[in-house]
Amino acid sequence: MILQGLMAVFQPLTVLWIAVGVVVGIIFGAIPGLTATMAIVMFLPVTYSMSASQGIATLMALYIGGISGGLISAILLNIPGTPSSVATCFDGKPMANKGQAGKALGTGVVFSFVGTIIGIAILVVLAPVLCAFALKFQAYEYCALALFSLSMVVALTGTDMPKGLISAVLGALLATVGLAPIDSRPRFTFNLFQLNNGFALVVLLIGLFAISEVMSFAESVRRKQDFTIEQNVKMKGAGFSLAEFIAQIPNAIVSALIGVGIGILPGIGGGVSCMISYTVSKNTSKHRELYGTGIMDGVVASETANNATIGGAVIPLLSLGIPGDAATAMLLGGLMIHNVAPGPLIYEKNGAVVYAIFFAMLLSAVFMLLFMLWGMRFFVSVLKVPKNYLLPIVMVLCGIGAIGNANQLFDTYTMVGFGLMAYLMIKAKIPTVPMILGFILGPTFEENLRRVSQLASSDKFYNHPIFCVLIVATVLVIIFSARANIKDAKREEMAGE
Amino acid sequence: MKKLFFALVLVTILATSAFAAWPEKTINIYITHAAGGDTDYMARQLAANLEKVLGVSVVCTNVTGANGATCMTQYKDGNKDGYTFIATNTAALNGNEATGMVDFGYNAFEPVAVYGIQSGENIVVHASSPYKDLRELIDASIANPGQIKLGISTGGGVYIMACVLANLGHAQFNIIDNGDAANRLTALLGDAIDATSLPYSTAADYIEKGQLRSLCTVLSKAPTLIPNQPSASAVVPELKMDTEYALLAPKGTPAEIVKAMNDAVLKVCGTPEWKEMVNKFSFQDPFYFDVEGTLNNLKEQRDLFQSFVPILEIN
Amino acid sequence: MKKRDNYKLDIVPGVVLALFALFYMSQIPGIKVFKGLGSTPLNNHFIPWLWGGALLTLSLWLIVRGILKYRRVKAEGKLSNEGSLLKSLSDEREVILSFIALIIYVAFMESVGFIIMTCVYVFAQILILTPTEKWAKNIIPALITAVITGCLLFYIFRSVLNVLLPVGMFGFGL
Repeated sequence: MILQGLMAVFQPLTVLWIAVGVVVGIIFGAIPGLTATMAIVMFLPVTYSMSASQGIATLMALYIGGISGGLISAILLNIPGTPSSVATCFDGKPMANKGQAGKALGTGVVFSFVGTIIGIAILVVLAPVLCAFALKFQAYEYCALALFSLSMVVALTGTDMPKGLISAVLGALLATVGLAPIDSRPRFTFNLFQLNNGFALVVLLIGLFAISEVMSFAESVRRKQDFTIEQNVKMKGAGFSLAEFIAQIPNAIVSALIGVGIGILPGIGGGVSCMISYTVSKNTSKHRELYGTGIMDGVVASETANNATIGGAVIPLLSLGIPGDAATAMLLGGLMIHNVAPGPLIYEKNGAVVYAIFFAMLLSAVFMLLFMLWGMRFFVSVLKVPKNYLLPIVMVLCGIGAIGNANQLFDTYTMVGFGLMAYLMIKAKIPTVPMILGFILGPTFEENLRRVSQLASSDKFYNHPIFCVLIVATVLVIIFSARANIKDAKREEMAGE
Repeated sequence: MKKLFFALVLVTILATSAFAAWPEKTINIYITHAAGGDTDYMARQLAANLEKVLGVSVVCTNVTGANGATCMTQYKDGNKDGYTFIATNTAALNGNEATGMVDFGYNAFEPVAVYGIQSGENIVVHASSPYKDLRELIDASIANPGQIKLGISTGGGVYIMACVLANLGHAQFNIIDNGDAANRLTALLGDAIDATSLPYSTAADYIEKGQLRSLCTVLSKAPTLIPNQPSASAVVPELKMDTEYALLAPKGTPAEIVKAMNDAVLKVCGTPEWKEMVNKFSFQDPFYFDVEGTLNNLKEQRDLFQSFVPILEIN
Repeated sequence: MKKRDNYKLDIVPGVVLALFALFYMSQIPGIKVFKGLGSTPLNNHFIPWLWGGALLTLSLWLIVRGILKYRRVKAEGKLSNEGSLLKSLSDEREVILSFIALIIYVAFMESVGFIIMTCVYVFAQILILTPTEKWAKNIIPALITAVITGCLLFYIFRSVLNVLLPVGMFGFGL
């Protein structure tokens, strides 16, 4: 069966499709506004006419390429290409500003590969065990998990806590627009049916990052003489030394485990995993004050985790037929259409396809590494395009992404609205990143809290050990992060005086 | 008299030539559900085959959200030139109206054709549970009111099913919301609920593996390729939830074009390749109606769903 | 300017957000509550009240903090006179123009169509982001970039990838 899977993948046409998928995925991932999910949505119908192995292999390639491609624009433009690379901006862009764009890209690419491989390894070896664990997560556990992840906001806010919290709450509040979870009653839609779907994460990201980047450039028009950011970017190998690589291994392993863990639990996704692993990496590091100034560790944490999430998300997808996020939901559709029903019998009924998926993922990861390392010279040359030409084109692509997300022109209006909001937030020194966590996790929290309220009469919380552990962990995270924040604020104050 | 006759002939020629030319450009089909789902797959299969019959390209676009309500709201008054169609399923079309998600039904469109039927949902329990059929499950819930947890997705077809079970079948379940099919499956496997309804395609492997047990199908008649299943309607007569795939046109699309499109759909559905595809995909034989049959079929289903409105307790 | 002197950055956003929170909460009673089978004890009003209330509390915190800062600054007699509103608006004219361009772009995209609006927008945005003294040198390249961007992206996304980009009144691109 393993051999069958191998044979299915290593046919010239399938290999070609995987290569095409990876390249298209990287392009979709790299362009702000176009995401890995969108790439899969657009190419899913193309795979209807392929064989099962070929179709799924192509979709996997798009997925892996798409998640990896996001780091390019995050590092070079400070605009995350996909939700999964939000945290890559934190240190990636400062590195690029210091003239280390090549090193940042190299780090991102190599550790994306490492993350993908660790994810696949765990997928192949531990899938059945982890599925049993994932099944333990029901309403209570998800409710606590959402709270726990939200508590990371406190760590992400930096020194101005009320403003960080405001950002997160505002995100959660925006996410209440649209049909309410569970009962599908419209909320805050003002009778506009276009608002029934609520706001899309990708549209929010465009507003928060892409538009605000254009505006911050617009502010500097009369001050800047040189429109190309960097003239000389030296590229040698992957841009960093073997010693540096080895030094990052513990960080990478922790981040990969966080990524896989979040991937296994349906409904959270790569956007959260990169931020959590960044926060964990920062708060456990010996030099936490350097995070955000442009060090490898930050890029490693974010990129390893988001790619490891892929392997994690595929575990419940294949073994239970439960998709972890929008992208894997599309993959599930892709599998069903080829009459491969994920679930307990997938190894018995479609073993060859499963192994084909594993090999396709492996091959996609290798292709991703090769293409991105090879393409780095080319990516960096994007920096040589004058920004006053580059940014308008990026904006148009963002507009297309907003339209393409649900084929609704209306989303471009919300895109501009979010851009205006982001600009004002930045002016008011309110951080924008916590907003994303609030936006993603708010609905998860609400849905499960309300389910818990349904269950509470018959099923008490103390019967749920995972729930209790997570709640205690949440409290601890809040206390320790708040203390660290206050310390940082004092230090800043001292430096300011 | 002669003049009038000529005028009449001229008009007829003009009129027929205008329609005879149809189709002369790309046809757009807007799919109400996301890529990867059964509604999308069936619509795209239909479109690919229509291209061969009609000789023009047929482009599919997914406009998703709110169980298809977004797309239907947007295109019910869309372009009436005969190049705009909406592909959806009848559970969304009639269900959204019954649950009050939208205030219009199939009458807001020019129905073109019903062109397929789903493999349906099954009521399933854990294999270790003592209930062997729907009757036993309902009786057990009556014996222990509020103790048997039934997982549903509020507002959708499964919700309607639960309401019918509770009001017309007199069951007394503890209703728990679990969200979509994948989440209901998780909850059932994780012992968070005792019973739920799952699409046959989702549940099949678990049933085969002996982890889950199907009590009945909620289709009015078991799929042709998996015939040996009891129907829920044997226990609760009103419980018939047939999800069919339907092609609609915006209101006001000329009847000639609707007829021509229906002819093309019927031609597609009559081919052996189509039969092979639906056999494989939904365990059903080809299922389709002409324009009039489509209207009757939709009316029948809508009447059934509307009869549930009093028991749905929406608002 | 030292961080703690910056009371305006607390008071202004605080007031705006507080008003927004009040508006948000004023809309909550109008949401239809679901009372059907399996309705949850915590209904769909609960979380909006929670977030709305949290936002109001936090923005009041900001306002109070801002007022405290203001008092301290005033006591130290370091209240600075800032330039007029008009001047600060003119300082940010590129930003304002960019937003106007963006708004016009999306507002007219449906009626005029993607290609034309994209060409116009890209051209305008490039010039906005270019210092005026360099305009002469940039007009032709900007025009070429705009036209290529509009046509190429329309072709790729509308014709190849089936994204519903608006064709507009001229019916281009079919």
